[in-house]
Amino acid sequence: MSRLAGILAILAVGNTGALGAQPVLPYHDGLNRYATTAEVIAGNALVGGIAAALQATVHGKDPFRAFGIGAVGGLVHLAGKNFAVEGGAARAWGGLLVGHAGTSIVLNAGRGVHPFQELVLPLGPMRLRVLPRDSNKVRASVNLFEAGWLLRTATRDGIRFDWERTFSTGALAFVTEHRMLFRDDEELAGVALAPYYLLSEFARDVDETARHEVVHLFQQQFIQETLGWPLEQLVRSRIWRGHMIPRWIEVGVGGAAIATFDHWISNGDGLRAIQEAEAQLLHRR
Amino acid sequence: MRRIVLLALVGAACGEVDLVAPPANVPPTFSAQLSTNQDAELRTSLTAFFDAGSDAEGYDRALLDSAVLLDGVETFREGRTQGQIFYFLSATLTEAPFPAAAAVRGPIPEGSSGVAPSMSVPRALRVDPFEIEVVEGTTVGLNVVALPDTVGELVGRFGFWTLLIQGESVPTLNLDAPRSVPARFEIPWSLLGNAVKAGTVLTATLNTNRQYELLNAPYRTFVSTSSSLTWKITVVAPSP
Repeated sequence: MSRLAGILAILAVGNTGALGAQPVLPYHDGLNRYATTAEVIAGNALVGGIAAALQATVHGKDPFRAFGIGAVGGLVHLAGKNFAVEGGAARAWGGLLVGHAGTSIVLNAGRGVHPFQELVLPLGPMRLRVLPRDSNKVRASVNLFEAGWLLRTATRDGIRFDWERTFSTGALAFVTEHRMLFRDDEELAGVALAPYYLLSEFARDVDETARHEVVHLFQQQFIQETLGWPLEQLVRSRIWRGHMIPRWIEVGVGGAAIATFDHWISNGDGLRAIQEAEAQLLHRR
Repeated sequence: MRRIVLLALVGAACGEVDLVAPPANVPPTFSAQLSTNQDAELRTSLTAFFDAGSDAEGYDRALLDSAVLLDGVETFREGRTQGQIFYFLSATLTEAPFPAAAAVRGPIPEGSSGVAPSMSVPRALRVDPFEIEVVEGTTVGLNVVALPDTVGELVGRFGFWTLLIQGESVPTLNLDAPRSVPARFEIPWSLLGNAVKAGTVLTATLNTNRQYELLNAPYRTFVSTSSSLTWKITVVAPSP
């Protein structure tokens, strides 16, 4: 089990960072340049393909077929991300739907089922799983890890919930109140910690930072849904009394664990840097 | 499962951000650099940076007038970011005499009594024409408008100059000193080397830099002036 977690984590490197953040200056540690459009397209297809192929291997399905369909899912996910940051609530919510349709294609490809067997839609820390071919067509669950983070942030002093920005970006938005954001002595303009993003009131360009962090949210939710959640399901099926955890509860730590492992083995220069490059490219569109 | 949870918790701990109150009452600062490049013509530019500082609440100090003027002309702004503004303006002058100083005016932030820092920033200039002739075997003299240590309320803080003389197939001569540029450079013929003969064409480039602080300014104001002056020197044979 731990070997599987390691493989998933290694292959996830570069796809997402659970702790995506935008520093005050545009260039991030370990990021020497912006990604090109071609690199972002190829990267999303590759990551979608690998995520699906990995899961297919674990389930004894055809990994090559999964890779192909997963690559398409990665591209659909990218299209959603791209659309979501173009500005305006309609595009944001539309991009959210398209992006998570791409995520769902990757997830289903890994299981060797129809690409739209299960459609997942994250709504804050909630997950809405639509199963058109199932008798129980809609299943809701809560991601405990994300809910915990959300609760922690919502109750901190110096942070307020931004209704308007939440509506216009399709993602839970918080803004600091008379506070600057710091991590490890580095001032940040914003930070994304799925299921929400937090902006500094002192960011030089709050709108641009919001778009940047929304891209990170897409990345984080993609890794959680395509690698973290399958990993959790596998673990739950193998551990003692794992089946007793209600289906409406998702522990939700898989994505964060993978991102942490990536950061640990690459010191932030692995997939996290690639993610940052993608966010830098997309938020300027 | 325990390992995965542990990894996630480590990640969560690393993801924690600190919320820090912004520093209050940070005074504004203005710094400008006047650059001059003189060969056959004179190109000059001003780059400036203004940090508005913060008010009592820690927010960016408001500006009554954000313009920076160079000889009365408003410079271009690079955009305000977190109370910091970059400015730029360049110009080319083709007809002598070239002005030996440029008038620079900084922005007016709230709380500075409506007064902008204003200064006349000196620039080192070549006094000689661009092309000069030097008799073989004699001392090479280069004349410039020197930069004074103090100009009005501008007080010199630091300065240096470098002089580079080079030509085709002759050794390069490089002189420098960490002080203000003098009004005249005299280079003994012996320093130029034996390869320099009548007919040789040399290029002399003098780079100077001097930094000043403006006294009695409404807020801290610094300016540096740097010049790159070029001479084309033709070595001629002594008269018979």
